[in-house]
Amino acid sequence: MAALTISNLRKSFGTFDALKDISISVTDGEFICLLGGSGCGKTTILRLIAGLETHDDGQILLGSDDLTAIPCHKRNIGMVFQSLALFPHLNVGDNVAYGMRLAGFPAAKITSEVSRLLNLVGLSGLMDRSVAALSGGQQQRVAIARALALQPQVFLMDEPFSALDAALRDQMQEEIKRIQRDLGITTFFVTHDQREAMALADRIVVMNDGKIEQAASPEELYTRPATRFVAEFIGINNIIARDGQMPIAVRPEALVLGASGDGISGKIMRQRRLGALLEREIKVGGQTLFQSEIAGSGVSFDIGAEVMVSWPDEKAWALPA
Amino acid sequence: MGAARMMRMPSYGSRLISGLAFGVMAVFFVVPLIFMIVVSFYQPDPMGFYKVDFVWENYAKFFSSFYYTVSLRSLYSSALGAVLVVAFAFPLVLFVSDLSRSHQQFWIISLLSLMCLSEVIIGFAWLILMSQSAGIPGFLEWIGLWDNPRSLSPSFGAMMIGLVFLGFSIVALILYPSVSRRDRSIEEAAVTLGTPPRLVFFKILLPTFRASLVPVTLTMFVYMLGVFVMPTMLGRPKDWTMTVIISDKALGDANLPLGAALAVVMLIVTVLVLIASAVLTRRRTP
Ligand SMILES: Nc1ncnc2c1ncn2[C@@H]1O[C@H](COP(=O)(O)OP(=O)(O)OP(=O)(O)O)[C@@H](O)[C@H]1O
Ligand SMILES: [Mg+2]
Repeated sequence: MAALTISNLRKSFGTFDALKDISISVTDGEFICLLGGSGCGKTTILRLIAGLETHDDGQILLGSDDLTAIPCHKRNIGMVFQSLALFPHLNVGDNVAYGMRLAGFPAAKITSEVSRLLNLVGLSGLMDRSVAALSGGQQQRVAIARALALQPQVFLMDEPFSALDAALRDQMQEEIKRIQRDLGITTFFVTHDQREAMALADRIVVMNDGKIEQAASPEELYTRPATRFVAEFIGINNIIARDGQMPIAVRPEALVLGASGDGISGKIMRQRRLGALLEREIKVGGQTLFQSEIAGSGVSFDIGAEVMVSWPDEKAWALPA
Repeated sequence: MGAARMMRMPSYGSRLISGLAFGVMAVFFVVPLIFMIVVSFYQPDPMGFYKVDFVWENYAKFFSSFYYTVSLRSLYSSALGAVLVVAFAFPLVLFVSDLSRSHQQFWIISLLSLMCLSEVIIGFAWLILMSQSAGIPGFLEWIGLWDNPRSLSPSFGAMMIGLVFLGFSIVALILYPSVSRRDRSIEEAAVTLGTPPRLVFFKILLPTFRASLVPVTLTMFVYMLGVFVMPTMLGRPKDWTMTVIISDKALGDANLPLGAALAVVMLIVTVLVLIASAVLTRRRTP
């Protein structure tokens, strides 16, 4: 019912192509994270879904309705802005009630909905507070409650937690995940933090330069990145070039070291122990590989030792570019 | 010890500065004010400026219907002018703030140059523009829209145009920084919550900028109470403001005590109006 299908979406600003041929199908209730570096077009996708920007080409279908034919104020899409964009002249309750008042809900219904929503985001009792008198995390919650007030079919969040400190961000991530699961609302969440995307998403859409590099579950993205860009962005630092063939990617924990035997030869440049984990940097040809293992689980070497580096075939995969 | 002395230095400095500021205030503001209040109780003397005395006669004259009416009209035209200036300037500033950088610069420079023009020059320009032969009426006749043109000034409307023009660039330049730096996503958030774009101005922009618009309007109100040239150039004698009447009395008729009394009354009324609007606006903020 609230499945969202984006097909061949294009958007340019002047001569600059911000989005080049974007297509994704999102199922009802799915939590999608748009992940990518600065300027890759994440915000532009959200703004096109919300109707704050007009597209050049392509389609956005909500169920079977063409969203692009509906003006922004009639789309009923909840959006949390990066700046939060709370109404400074209204208190917490009036911020949340804004959309319902405008839509002409009866007063009694508005009152009960506002307290239900404030309860949902953990702000019950703060209805009469001025928004300027709230902490960053509380303002965040007001923005979320306000965006959910009209029971939108799609919920959009643009880097909502980027201004919060790490502890608060973790807490807000858990809460947004719980709220999203409770409401079963189709959600787009923009972030440039791959850890945040991994923690939240049913599916992560990795973007680069106005294109989708890969759309996959966190698990699949982590174990089988489709492109070199994704592999690097997700933090798989071993991409091994091969003569005349596609480069291969191997996770640090999949590399096995031996004093002799099969593999490619290298030299240990650094090693350090982080709790139970042992991390090494190995120089192979002109390249540095990263290897990690549970301390004590493998052969121990000194810095400067010559080693043979190998990996099980099933833990390595070829990258197209 | 040296450190202790160093620590004290700023306090001497700030005392010196506040003392100086107080002195300047006293010399340029309080002393003339006291002088004005004192003179307002003197006897007018047709031969000289005044005779030292203590009479209420000058104040009694204010409550004769003529001055009473003039002061009410002054309050009315200044208030109307202030509201009109802000009502025109605020939407224009919003419009300009959404233009490209270079277009914005063009507008800012235009507004700045407008502000450089003196009241007299602006008054003359409008006088010519509204004259029967050279100005807008003549043009309307020429294109056939007005059969029997007459000069548009002096009139209340002409005076209002002059006042609005005079305050326009000031208000626009005061509002510009905060308007151009506003968080536009607040307006976008309102639209995603169902606000039709044409209502965003009333539902979001006016209320969020109320805190800047009210003081600017009050400032304009006080400023326009003191405007002298526009009413005399573009207004009819019955549109003349209290400022004009006061200088007419004090300088034209050499009746300094009456002028002073009228000025004191205007000062009191102005302060009362400002206090009243401050109280009213404070009560409405949550
Ligand atoms: N209104 C606009 N006019 C011109 N260029 C724009 C406009 N909006 C976005 N762009 C450009 O389009 C590209 C994509 O912008 P977008 O805001 O979608 O990036 P993003 O992925 O959200 O980046 P960030 O992580 O920095 O927020 C950027 O290069 C940006 O400069
Ligand atoms: Mg962005």
